[in-house]
Amino acid sequence: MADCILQLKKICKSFDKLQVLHDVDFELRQGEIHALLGKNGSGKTVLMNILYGIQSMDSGEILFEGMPVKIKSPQQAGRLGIAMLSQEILLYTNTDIAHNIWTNHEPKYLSFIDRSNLYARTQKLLSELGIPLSAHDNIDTLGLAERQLVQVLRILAANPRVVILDEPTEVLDNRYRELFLELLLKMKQQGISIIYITHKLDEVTQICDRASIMKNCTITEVVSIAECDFDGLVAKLFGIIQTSSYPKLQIKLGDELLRVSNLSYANILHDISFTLRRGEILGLAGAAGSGRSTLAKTLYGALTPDKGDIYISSTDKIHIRSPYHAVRCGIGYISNDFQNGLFQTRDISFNISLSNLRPYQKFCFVSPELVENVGRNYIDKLNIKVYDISIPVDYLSGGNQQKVVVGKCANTYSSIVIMDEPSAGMDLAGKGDLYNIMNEFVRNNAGILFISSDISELLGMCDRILTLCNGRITHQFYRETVTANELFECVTADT
Amino acid sequence: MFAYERHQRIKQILYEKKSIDVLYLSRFFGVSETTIRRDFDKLEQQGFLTKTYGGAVLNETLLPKTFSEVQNDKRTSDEKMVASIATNLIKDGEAIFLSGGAISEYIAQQLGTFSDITVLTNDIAVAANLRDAQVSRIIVIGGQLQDAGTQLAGEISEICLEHVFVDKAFLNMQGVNIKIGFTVSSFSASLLCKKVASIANEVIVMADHTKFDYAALSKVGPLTMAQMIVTNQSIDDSYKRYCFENNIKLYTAFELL
Repeated sequence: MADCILQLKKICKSFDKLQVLHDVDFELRQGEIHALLGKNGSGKTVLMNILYGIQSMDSGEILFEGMPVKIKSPQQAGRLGIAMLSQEILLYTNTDIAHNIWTNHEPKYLSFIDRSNLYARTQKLLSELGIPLSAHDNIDTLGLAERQLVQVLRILAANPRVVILDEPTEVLDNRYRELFLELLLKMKQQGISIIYITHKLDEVTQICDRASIMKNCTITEVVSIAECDFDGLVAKLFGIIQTSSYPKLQIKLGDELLRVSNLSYANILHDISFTLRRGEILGLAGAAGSGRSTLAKTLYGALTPDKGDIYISSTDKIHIRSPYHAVRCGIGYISNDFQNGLFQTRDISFNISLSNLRPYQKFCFVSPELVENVGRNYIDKLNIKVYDISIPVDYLSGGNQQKVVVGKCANTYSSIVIMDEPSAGMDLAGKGDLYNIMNEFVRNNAGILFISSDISELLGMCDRILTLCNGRITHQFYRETVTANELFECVTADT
Repeated sequence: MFAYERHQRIKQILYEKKSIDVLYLSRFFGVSETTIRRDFDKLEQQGFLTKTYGGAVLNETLLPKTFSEVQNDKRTSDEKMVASIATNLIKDGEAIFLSGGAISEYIAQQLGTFSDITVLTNDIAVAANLRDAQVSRIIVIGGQLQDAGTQLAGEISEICLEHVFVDKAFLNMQGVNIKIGFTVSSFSASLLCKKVASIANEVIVMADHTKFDYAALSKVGPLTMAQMIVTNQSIDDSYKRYCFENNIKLYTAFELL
């Protein structure tokens, strides 16, 4: 194993009762680009966080150049020569590129920063790599893609041995993407080993040497890219698509419920137009970073669109000012982020009633009895497994917490329900419940916007599916005619 | 307060407290003790309470009955929920089979909204409901009436079924069990179910949650013989998992809104 720079052995990690990593074995060879693939929530980011010392592992072993090491912080990881590019942009604004790149590694003259050397080095690096930027450019003036490149350069400035890239190309447009991929190949030539997390399989086939596939909390397979083409990779990653176990109820479609036209938000959403009818489940497919969650938040009033109109019930044009206003307009939002969606320290009744307190008012106070009644009611209706109604939702399992979020949404009697990856992290029984709850919404004349990265779930439950790529709606498919492969290509391929 | 009104209140209080004394009630209602005693006489005649020295106790035999009434109501609403989900699975222009049972009767009542639908059934009560709902085409399968019920089965039924084909067969089952499969209470009914399953494009099994984990006398087939199962949400998680893994669409009625 001479060419192995890094080995992870039997890594396990759980959050409370939820196991996210189970006996993960991973090895990285000297000077290879190794893709780490898997669906959302399969544990890729957690594994990398453990490697970089951001999170601790419950058990397992890390070998760096064959020697067992303990990585307890990003600083320690940095000393070993491990660097990570995170999904967010973390740069010092208000200062120029040169200072950002060489933070902590500034060229010194005596004990002072050698400014001329600093700029000269930066400019040399930029021109060597063919990046059309100047060392003096202020970070504030740069676009998201350019900032991302600066981040990569900063990592390179530390002379790393191993670089972890977590979905780095999500923010890059085509021009910068090519540049970025070339940059990775140059890094590889310098002997740097790269772990590359992405959803874009065309990039994987383009630059990677090997790929590890994560499924159900562990790495199930390591494939050599030379022996596997794009379609083979798709099949390995997603398995055979089986939709016959999804309890789809075909509801007769009613009137138009929601119309969005030419919605744009910052650099993330461009000219989004679609309609949603009563009784319809409209799927929204797209890789992480395609703008799906931003779209959901824009519709829910958490973000204000730059331009575009939203019409509810075909007549009234509505400017949704806030989530509170959205609820009043009949829009409900269910996300998988119940950490933020619920008050973890309060009980079920409190959380469910909070979205719509008016019915529980007595005079100008909220009646605790009425609130508790509604809690009991939903525990019964949604089959939430709880022994004591007064325990905080924190103590519930993920699936049950998700049901509380659903109850909270149902309690507002919303006619438009936006679901953002609602089934992530749920077991099969919980998922089954969720799909039947979706049926219940549409049976009651609501319309659902269903955002998911699980292709089979979308094919199984939706009447219509839109694909979202780089903030634009690229295709529309109908349930009767769409095939799994068509949908794959539109979601995984870029442009 | 009228005497009748007072009787109702006394019943309510007795239900909660099980026993009560005359003095308390006379103060509570602001009437004399004699009046309360007269009320007790009346209620005793109705068999509601038994008079004791200075008071009365609830006739305990009443309790289980009211409890079972509540259970029955719950049961009925569960079955209605199952029926309304199952109705959603039917499309205009289809030919369907409804096997005998309470759920089928509820479905039959809702079929009037379809403009063009053919319904076959082996249950005369279901057939009567179908007629009342003015369903466009009703076909009753012949057969021998099963003991004191409304369902037809036997050799004649099977001969009738030889000559038809349906898009969807809705079958009521008495037992649903992962290990044993679907079961019904009589041998002739199980033969009929098997026959119907063989002439249907899709088999849809309806059973409320009380039928799960239970096995009746006669076996119809494994769970995988059904493409869909319609039930209530309170069934055990193991069934939800099993169905998902074995490509059975499991519809569980949530009474959400």
